[in-house]
Amino acid sequence: MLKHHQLLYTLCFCSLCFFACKKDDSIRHYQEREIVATPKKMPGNQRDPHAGLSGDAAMGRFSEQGAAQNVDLAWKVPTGWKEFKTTGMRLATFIIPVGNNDSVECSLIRLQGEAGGLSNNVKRWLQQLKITIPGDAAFKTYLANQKRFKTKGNFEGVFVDFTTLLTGNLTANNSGMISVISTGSHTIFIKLFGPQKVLQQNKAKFLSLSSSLEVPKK
Amino acid sequence: MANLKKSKLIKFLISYKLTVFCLLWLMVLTFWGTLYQVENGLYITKERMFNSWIFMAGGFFPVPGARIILWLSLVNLTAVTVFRFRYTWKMSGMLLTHVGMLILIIGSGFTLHLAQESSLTLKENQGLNVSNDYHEWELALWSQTQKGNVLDKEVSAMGIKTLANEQELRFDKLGYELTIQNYFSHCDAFTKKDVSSADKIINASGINTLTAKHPQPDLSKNIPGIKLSIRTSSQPDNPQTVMLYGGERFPTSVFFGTKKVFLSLRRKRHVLPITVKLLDFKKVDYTGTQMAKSFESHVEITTPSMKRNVRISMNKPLRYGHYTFYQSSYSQSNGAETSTLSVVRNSGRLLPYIASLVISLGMLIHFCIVMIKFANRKRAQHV
Repeated sequence: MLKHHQLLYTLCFCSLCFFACKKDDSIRHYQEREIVATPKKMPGNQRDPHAGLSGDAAMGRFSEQGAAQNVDLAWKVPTGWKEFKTTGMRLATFIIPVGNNDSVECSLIRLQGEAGGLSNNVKRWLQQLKITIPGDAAFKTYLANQKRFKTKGNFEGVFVDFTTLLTGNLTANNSGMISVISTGSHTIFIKLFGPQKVLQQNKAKFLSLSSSLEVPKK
Repeated sequence: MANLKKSKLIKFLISYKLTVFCLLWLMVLTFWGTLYQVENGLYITKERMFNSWIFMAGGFFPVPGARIILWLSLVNLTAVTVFRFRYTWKMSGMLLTHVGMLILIIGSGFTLHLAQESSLTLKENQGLNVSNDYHEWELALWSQTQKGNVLDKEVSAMGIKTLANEQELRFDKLGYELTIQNYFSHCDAFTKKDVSSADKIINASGINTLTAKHPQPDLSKNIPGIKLSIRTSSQPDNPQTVMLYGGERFPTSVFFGTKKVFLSLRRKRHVLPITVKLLDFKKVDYTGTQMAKSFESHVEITTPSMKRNVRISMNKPLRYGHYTFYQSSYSQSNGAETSTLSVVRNSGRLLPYIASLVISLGMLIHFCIVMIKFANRKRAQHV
């Protein structure tokens, strides 16, 4: 029969052995089963062309579609903006310093075809920015009133300015401006989201970047 | 036994001072941790204060972590139960209470070492029998077959904590050998044009360059990357170079003749005893707002013996064996709904309930004994 102190020592020893065990990293085998989801049918071009690009950039920066594309566009980086080369559908990221060691980010994205169409994309961005979408007639007028321009490479573009839809707190991080440029086979999105004041200060530079898009000379 | 009781160590271990110190320090840690997690997040706080033996307060002053305190409490309680108690009926209530507390501490040890927390994210009509770990990564190779909409993968995987450059790995079951050329615990991935075309790198996302970054203390924020060469066991002279990055959404496939193998650096998968299929996700908002009032997942669970439909909502988890599935998150975009379930496997989940019952029973018995003693004394005084 175990005496009291023997019982205590045995208990301590067993506990130490149990908790000292380390999980190892050896190779394990298992069967993974996935029931593949059948996608719900969406009318026409409502599929989100930017799915995976917003939010966690690391998770969404690369996709099969992006991998198949090569960079064959050139642009002029506005003074004061810093360009970072990226990959996949996102062709470039520009960091715009706004003081106090803070910055906002502008991205240049290329997608195939119409990429969902202007109207659907604008509605989606408005939702993301939590800006009330105007009624149908007002929305059409709003779109029609957006600035049209031609880039250096003769591509047609639309400059969608959300800063005009906001009033009140100009430092709120809830506004955006986007250029949607069609190259024929692709649509280029230049997106800048951030505080309204910062966007307004950088509007001219943003437009100059948008207008500078061209096919590089060989 | 009497000699043992006189030893300084046992005296220290059964002292009330030790009990009080442990309880007070746990209280301090709980309060401190609550404040600390506001700025540093739950994971870092748990690792630093509760999963550590000792941690540095202010970066220089060593203080005991919850782990050492809980061990001391366990030893203190055990020693008290063994050496201090008189095993009589009168003390039975107190003894039971102490045993209950011992079960509680042992239960916390079980949870710490054996509990497994992961997540399961499903699109509507998608089903899976594996969940994703929150922190750990694995290097996975698999071959797959598809019948209808069911995709079966034969996976061989290993954790990446112990990976090192030049390490040779043999995945014998699938028949592949790997050599790790570069391993990064945290890195950025790029597609660069100036990479030598002689160095042909296979990657599903076009990545051909990995650059190391300083690892984050919060492991869940680290995204690892690996450059490796893979060859079949039968043709070791024909290796192919593959680059894998933890941030990729799609696996990389490599062909050896007609043989195709998929490689991915992904969150460690935990195999579940059931297949969970999301049938429908419902979210109800407060009127006139986009704030969720409630959200719930209608799932179909398939076990080896049966199939049934279950509704999982915010306060109504699904329990199956040692597993509990909680509704934890969702996403809705462009008509596609995705539900995220937290999956907790805890073999010791009943221990806190058992401990509470035992403690309550012990206190009740002790209270009754004291009551009877008091009543007898009163009666004796009257007589």
